[in-house]
Amino acid sequence: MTAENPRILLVEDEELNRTLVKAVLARAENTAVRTAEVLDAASIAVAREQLSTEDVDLVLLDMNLPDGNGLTLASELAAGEATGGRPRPMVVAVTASVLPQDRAAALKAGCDGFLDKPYAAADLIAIVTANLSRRAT
Amino acid sequence: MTRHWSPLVLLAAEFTFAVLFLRALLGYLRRRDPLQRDVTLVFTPCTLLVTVDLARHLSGGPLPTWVGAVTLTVLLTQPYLTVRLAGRLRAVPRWLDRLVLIALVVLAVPLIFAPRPLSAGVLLTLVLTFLGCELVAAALLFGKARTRRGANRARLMIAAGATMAFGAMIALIDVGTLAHAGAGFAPANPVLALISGFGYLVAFVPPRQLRRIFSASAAQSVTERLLRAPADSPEQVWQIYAEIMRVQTGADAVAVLMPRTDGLLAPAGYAGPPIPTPDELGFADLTALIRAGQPARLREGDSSLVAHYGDNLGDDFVTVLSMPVPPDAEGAVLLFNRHRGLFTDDDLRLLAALGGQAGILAERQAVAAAHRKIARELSVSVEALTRASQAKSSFLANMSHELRTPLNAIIGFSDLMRMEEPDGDRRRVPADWVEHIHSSGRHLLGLINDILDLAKVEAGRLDLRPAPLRVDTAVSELLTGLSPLLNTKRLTITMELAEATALADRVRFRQIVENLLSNAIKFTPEGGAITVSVSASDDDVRVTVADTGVGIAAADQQRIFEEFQQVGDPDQQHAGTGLGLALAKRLVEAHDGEITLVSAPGRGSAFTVRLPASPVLTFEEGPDAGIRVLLIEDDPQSAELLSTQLVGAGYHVDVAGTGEAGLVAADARPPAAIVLDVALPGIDGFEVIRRLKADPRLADIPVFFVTIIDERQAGLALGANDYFVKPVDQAALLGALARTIAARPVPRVLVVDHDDEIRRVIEEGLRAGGADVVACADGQAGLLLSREGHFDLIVCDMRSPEVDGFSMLAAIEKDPATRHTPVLGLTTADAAERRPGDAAPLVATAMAGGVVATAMAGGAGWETLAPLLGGSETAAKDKKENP
Repeated sequence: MTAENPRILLVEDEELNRTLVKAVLARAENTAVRTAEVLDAASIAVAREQLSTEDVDLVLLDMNLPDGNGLTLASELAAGEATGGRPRPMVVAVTASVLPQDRAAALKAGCDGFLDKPYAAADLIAIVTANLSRRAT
Repeated sequence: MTRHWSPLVLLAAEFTFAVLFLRALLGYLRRRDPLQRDVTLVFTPCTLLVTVDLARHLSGGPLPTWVGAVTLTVLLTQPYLTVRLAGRLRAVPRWLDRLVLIALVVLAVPLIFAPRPLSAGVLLTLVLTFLGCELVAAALLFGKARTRRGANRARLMIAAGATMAFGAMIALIDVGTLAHAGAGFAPANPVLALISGFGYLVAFVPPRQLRRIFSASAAQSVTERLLRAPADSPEQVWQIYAEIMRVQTGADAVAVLMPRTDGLLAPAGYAGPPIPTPDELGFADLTALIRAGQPARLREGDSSLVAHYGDNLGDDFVTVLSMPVPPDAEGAVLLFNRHRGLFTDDDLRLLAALGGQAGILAERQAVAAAHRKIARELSVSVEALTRASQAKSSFLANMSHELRTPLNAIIGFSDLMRMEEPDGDRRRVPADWVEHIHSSGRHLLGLINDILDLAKVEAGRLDLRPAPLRVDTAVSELLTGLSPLLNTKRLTITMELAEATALADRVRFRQIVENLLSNAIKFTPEGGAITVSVSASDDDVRVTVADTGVGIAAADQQRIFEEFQQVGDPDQQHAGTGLGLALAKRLVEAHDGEITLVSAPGRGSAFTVRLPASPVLTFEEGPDAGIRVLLIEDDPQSAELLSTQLVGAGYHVDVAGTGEAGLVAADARPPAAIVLDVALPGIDGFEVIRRLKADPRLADIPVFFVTIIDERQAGLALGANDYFVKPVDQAALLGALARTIAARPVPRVLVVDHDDEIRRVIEEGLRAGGADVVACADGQAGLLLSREGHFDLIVCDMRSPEVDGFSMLAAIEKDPATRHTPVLGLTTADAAERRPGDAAPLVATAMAGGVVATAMAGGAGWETLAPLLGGSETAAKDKKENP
């Protein structure tokens, strides 16, 4: 883990889902995950803004966003853009678009992980923990 | 120098005339064709002139004066003969013919009797008159030429020119005589003679080579046009060929006959003045006419030809040409002319022969075009199918996505709940989570319902029950239900509800308007306004929902009616299934209605639903007791007569003026019998009975046709009980009605319910439907009644205070007398909440001999109970067969 309290950017337009992610992560056993600071963005535009000014360790990215497909942001990050020179965060796609082609597109866009909706709380915690630790090493 | 070649030219001209004359004469002798005779006659004067000249040359001295006079006189007849010839080819006014003849006779007298040498005045008059006559003849030929095309036209033009040249030549000879052989005229004579001779030669008896060129060019023209003409079907080809031939030959009419399978020739194409064409017509053998190869009077031809074409083309000439059609058929081309054609035989035959071949080519072309058209249509279909398949895939992908979104909250929050520390057998969880799960669950249910409804509409399996519906009342009820939502957003609602009755399914109508209203609420910012208006015209009812919301750009206005489409600023997208408007549109269309949108960004949206107005029903006022007969009859007089007869026999009569109205009336109040006319505006009586028999609730109603249309077999085959052809024997109709209605079992229903209000509602509903109802409040009494009453259906309250429904059911099941009787148990959806007088919603469960069917009973009237009674008759039969 990079810091005592890593930062996670949650890009998700459904408020209910944002509440859910925060509630799940707050109940993780892993301290780093439990204490992670969760920023949120309801659109790609807001996420870009956050990424350009904040240090972020992990981006949880919805695909179906009001201003486009979240994967465009994943591609920008993979290309080393959008972070204003800061190190690239890990990117996990969290989406209800679960067809094989969606998954392939996510991996092609440079996502580090892929989580299907609906997910079990344990799965969300597991993928966040794994990616935060990969980021730390 | 001229003196050297002038005699040679003259000789050539004379030779030409001699050839012309001989050819024409031979042609006439061979065929005895009057036209050829006239041509021969035209050349006779010229030939005489040639002969005289030749004789003068041979004798070496001047011929006697009388020879010159006779020659001149005969020459004078030439213009007249040319006019006669023209008269065979076209209409020549009788007066013109006579005028020319008189002019020439008047001139011939001084020419023969006047002393020689002729005076200059006589000669001048002679020349001018002669020239004038030639001019008339040439003009006639020229006029005819203008109506023709191609080689035909050229030949007639040349003939006209040659006539003029001949006239000029004779005039010059005369003027030469007048001027005593002035040197200047001498050479011009033989040249003009040669021009005239060649002209006639080319026009009337062209050398074989020239004739071939003429024919080839005509044939090519026909073939080209035929192949270029866009024919969509092989049948059209022959029609086009007939039209081309008409233009090409200048015929008044052209008919193409093709062999039928029975060998006779049948018309395949016709171009010309309209004739009354009998459809089925076969021509007998036309070989004789074909072999004649020259125009014949239509009346002298085949009698069937006269029968077919004779009326309008009575005195016309007809040329019949054989048209070989590859590979082995033989058709015929008929050319009709009010006047004789000058050039008949060879090139026409060639045109016909080529026509057959070109026709086959064109036919193939048409077949190929048809194939191409089919291929195009197929590829369009394939494209449409591909698009539909893609739309389906993307619909499924979207649906999966939409379903997963609320499921995510449900599973996620319930998962979180499981993670909370248990406190005994409970867990302490935030109330919010429960709320999230519940609302997501509702959202999911809404989605599933919408998807199912959409699928039903798409598959055409939506079970619509259109009935007269007071739209204004329904809308205001809906708005009352939505008022909490309206208050939360502080929306002002304005209602402009005119009284209106539409023909609509109540449940679906609510769904449509609810979708529009929730849409308006969703997209209107806080403090905005929504206006709901209902208006009615004779034919339709309009419901408009207008808001002051974000509005929709013109480009997006079609798209919002598609599944999963939300439009506008993505940052302002709203939660929703994206199915509401798509579903509303389909539901409206299923009602034969229409949904329209008027909107502009920033200026709000107004959705208008148009539904068909309910047909006006004339229910007779009065108590429900008595036997009800529905009369479906559009003619007011017939309706009144029948109605009077039926009322006289003691029936209550409802009258519907259209099939649709009749169906609505039957649906609203199923009558004991239906008297049905066949010829009705809109759907006819046969369609009405078909629909009646397809509806299980209405299928058993006896139907009697009373109509002027004698289709008894069809009527009975469709399930009518009897069929009467107007004028109807009153006694027979009333007798049949009475017998049928008496034979129809009246279902007996036992109603057991302790709630007076509900019992009364059920009882009334069943009575209105024609059932014999026994009702009691007490369960114990009900059980006793059930054993003795021989009921077809027992309706019982499941929560009766004395005997609860379940023990009552058990008792009924046990008793052999009632074991097969269907039982309808009534409970409210949530039994605990049932209050006295609360008639809806009730869950009805029908149980009969171990068979259990469940039905949602919105109320508990006849409409919902009748389908269950249908089964009771079967059960009753079972009871009789297996005691």
